[in-house]
Amino acid sequence: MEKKKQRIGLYICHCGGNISDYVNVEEIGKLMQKEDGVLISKDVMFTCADSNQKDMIQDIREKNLDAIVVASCSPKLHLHTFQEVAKRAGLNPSNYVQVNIREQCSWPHSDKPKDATMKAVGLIQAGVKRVAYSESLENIEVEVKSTVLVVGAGISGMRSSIELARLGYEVYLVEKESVVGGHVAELEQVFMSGQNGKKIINDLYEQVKSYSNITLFTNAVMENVSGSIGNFSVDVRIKPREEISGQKEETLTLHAGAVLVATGFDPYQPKEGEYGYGTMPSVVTLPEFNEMIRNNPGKLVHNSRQIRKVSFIYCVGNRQNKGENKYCSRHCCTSTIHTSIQIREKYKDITSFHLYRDIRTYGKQEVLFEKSSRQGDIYIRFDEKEPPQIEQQGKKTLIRVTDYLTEKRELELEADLVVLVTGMEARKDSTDISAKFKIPIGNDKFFNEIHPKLKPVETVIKGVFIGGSCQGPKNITESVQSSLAATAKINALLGSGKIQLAPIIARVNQDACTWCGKCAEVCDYDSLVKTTAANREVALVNRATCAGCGICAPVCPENAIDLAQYTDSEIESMIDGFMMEIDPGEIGKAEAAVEKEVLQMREYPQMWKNILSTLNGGKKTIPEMAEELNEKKELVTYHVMTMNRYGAVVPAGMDEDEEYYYYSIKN
Amino acid sequence: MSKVNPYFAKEMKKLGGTEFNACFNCGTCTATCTLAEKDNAFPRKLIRYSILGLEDDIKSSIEPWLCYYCGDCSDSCPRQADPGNIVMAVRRFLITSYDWTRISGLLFRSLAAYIVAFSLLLLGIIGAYTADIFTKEEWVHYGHYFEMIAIGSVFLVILLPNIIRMWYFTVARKKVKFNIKVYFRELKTLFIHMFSQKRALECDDSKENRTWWLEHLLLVIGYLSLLFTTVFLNWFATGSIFIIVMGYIFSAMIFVVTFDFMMKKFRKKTQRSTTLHYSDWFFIIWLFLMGVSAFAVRLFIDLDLLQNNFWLYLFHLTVLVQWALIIVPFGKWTHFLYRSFAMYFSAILEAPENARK
Amino acid sequence: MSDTKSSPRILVFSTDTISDPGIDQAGQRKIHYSPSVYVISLPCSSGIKPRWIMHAFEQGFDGVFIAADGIECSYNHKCAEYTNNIIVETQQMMKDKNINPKRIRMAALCSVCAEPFVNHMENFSRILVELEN
Repeated sequence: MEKKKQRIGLYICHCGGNISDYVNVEEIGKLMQKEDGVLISKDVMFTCADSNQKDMIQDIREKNLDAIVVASCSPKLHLHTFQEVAKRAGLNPSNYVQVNIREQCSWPHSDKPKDATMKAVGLIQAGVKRVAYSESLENIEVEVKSTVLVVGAGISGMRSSIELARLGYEVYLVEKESVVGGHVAELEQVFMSGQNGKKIINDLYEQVKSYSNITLFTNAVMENVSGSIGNFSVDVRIKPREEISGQKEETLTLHAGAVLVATGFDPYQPKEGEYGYGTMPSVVTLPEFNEMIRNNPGKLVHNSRQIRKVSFIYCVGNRQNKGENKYCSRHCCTSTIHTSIQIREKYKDITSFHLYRDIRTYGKQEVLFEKSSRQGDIYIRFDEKEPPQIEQQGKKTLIRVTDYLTEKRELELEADLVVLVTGMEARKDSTDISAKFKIPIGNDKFFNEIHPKLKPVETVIKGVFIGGSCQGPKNITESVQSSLAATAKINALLGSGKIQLAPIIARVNQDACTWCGKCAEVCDYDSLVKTTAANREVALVNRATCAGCGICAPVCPENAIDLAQYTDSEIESMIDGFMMEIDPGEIGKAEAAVEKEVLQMREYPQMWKNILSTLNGGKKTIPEMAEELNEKKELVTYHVMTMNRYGAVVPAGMDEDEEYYYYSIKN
Repeated sequence: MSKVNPYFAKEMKKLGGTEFNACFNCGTCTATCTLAEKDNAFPRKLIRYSILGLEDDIKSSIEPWLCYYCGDCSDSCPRQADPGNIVMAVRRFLITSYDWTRISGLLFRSLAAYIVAFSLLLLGIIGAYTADIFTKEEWVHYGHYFEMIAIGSVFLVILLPNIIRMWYFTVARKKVKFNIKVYFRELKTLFIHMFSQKRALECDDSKENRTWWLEHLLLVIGYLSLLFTTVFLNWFATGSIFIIVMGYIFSAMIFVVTFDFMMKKFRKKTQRSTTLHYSDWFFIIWLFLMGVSAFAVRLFIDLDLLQNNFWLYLFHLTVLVQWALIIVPFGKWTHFLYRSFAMYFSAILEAPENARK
Repeated sequence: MSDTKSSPRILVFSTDTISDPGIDQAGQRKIHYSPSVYVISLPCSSGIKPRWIMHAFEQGFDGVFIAADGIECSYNHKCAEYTNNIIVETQQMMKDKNINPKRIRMAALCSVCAEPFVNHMENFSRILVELEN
């Protein structure tokens, strides 16, 4: 363990008044100067300001500080800022601790300024104690290959491969089907451009072929995945193509610095009998209906019957309150309405019923909804509790539905075709892929990013990115957006050939370790392995793959594992810091003075009487009154202004220097 | 269980309801309408009925008659679905469904039918005049008789059965207990509304609306009074100065107000005057022509010019015949009658439970 | 100061990416809670050592609250289960030291759960006060 830090610099931020209005930062600054190990303790108007950053660097260099603490806002805002300050001053950024006295002190306790000040003292003490135990940690540097493995050759995977190839990376594009294009290739017309899906895919395919640094594998499935960021190694089994005889199955091992998973979605497949699917010939799914439209150029015919009335039932297999698929697939409303406009244009004499739960044609897609209603499509809203009932009566297909838009009226309608609007589901093999790459998946079996807003395409597995609808339902635009975002992240990661990993990882005290294997058992990343040191079996942490969650630390029966920056001494010293009894001393006095002033302000009737008696028919300036009353000028000003507003006194010209107003009693 | 009829919307379009499909069920129209109540989402529910084709529900609605088309709903509709317009179309649909002869259905759905009917009557009069069967005095004399007979028979043969049908659709089908006393007591509502049109004032408080109500009321009063003056006091043949002056005033009231209405409709100044069906134009123009021609005929009589300008009387008679045989029994005129009866019926329906026993 | 003394002192363990932002939000929205609540933020709640919790009780904390990520945890899909194991283990240690196991609590808290956090603090304080009496 490193030496305890003895030359600590502490900076306490006013944040304008965001902190200092409620927390007495000046007094805390003075108080903390007496604290053990603290060399500098200052209160600063804005610690994040450039000028203060410069002062901090100067302090670190001149006073040879070995650790710094800034008590200001949440670390989410400025941890990085001050780590950089430390770095610029030649101090290891790990010897920096940020104390949150704004979001977790001055703001939530703005109702109790005195208590807020006392809490801030505790928080700052904890920060000072913690930083004393901080260790200088070095980032972990890993060399990376400039090769990218893209899993899935749908529109997202292909677009990303092209961009990566353009940036000069070697790209392996792996597709499990025998053809590229995924679901986009199935669409006859894509909203809003009106392009043909197959054409889009063909164009992309031509581009993919034109890059010599893209290698496309079709009929290929992932087998074993090993390695970590910078050097993944993935076994890909390539099945022989049926149309080419004599081809043999082979397995290749591909090496890649990063992986982009863009495996897309499966359309929800209704269960046998769900809304009559599979049992009634007139019930089909939306993808099946789209295929029907593709294959029927002149008249829309199904089972040798001309279709004049189509009824769409929305949210099938989606937004299930009781089922697994709680999410909304977000593309299907637009898709369905687009289809209903398409069939109206293509077949003219056709009526669409939309049995929906909510219409979500968000963004620019809203125009479709209006167009569809204006063309005479009939919208009927049902509730999940009362789903439409479908019944076959001879040749007729009848639908019974409770319409929530019409006084919950029970309606009966006749349709020639019932189209189930099925949403998206995670790929059947997503669990399998998740297990291979260790990408976390949700209950819905879609892959999970680190943070939906702040890190939307990164996974906790360093070097593995996700794009497109494998992450959750997305439309084509959104899919391509996310996969291109991932592409940019991959470029940023692999661009320099080397990467720096944060040093927050688990560490094993091999002297204490007796290798029971519990740590390896709980680790989701296989980062703990058995090794031999000094002839003993002990655990070893893979520094490149460790995610730094710390799950292994509490399970160790020997307490031989800790997480860097979260060691026992650091955390326990924080707890000590919170609870350390402090002498309110100066802070108490200052607080009492403020309180007295406030009380005086409140006792205005007495103060008013005093002011009025000094005026006594004549006129006086505020400094004169203050002197006579032996009160602070500010206090007198406050009362005179108030009395003026209420009409007790009036201004009566200025003094000779034109510096102050005279006031006199109003008659 | 109500059966959805997707083709009904086309029917409504013929009757002038053109934009209602754009509705996305926000309910703003209901929020702005003073007729809407807790259990009565008017006019939104009429739009739903029209879209879904729930004919029976439309037929049993009384509210379209209570609406004076202030236009608030159409003004505030975020989708420009023009809810006020669909209420007007529903009224036309109701007129055609109450009419047992089905002739109004034909006339409301086809402009051609309207023109043919008008032309036939015109040709009939021209034919009769050229055939020279009546002297000029006889023309005026029989013209007066025609008026009396037409009023009586149109009312007995067409309007009375239609009102009974209206009662059947709107009241009887609702299976409320029948109590003759309530029917007598509420008769006052019928007459109060018929002669005051005061429901219109409840729509909104604006100056514009009050002006409109006053004009509309003047028109109703003027029309009824002129009817009384010509039919029962025989205005064209009377010698009483009082009656003559009254006739002038009443006919002037008609053509002044209708002229103002026409101008407003031309300029499309208010929501009320923006979307009009051809039946509305026929109604207002013929009312105007009737007022002007009656005024002119009496003036010519007083100036002793009629004998030499008999075409004027023939013109007046043509307008009158077309009015009495087409517009009154099968055209927009009926809205006057149905609206008053709607007030009456809704008062009966709203009568407290115990009063109905 | 009287407030700090009378209201129970609670140590909260939060997580850097999810529950700590939730607690920050209570501050941002100026929703008040007891100033005797102190927060330590960690990468993941499954990394809390029972000895830290015991240390907190020894130092005078009245209760320990774990603001976990539940199923939202981006590190481990079994995070909630392991965090729970830690609590069970700690409660055993607490019993040995005669500390009421009710003094430790866990709940899932999301990154915008400002009100739920404040409610948890109020309820927990109430429970801790009841335990005192």
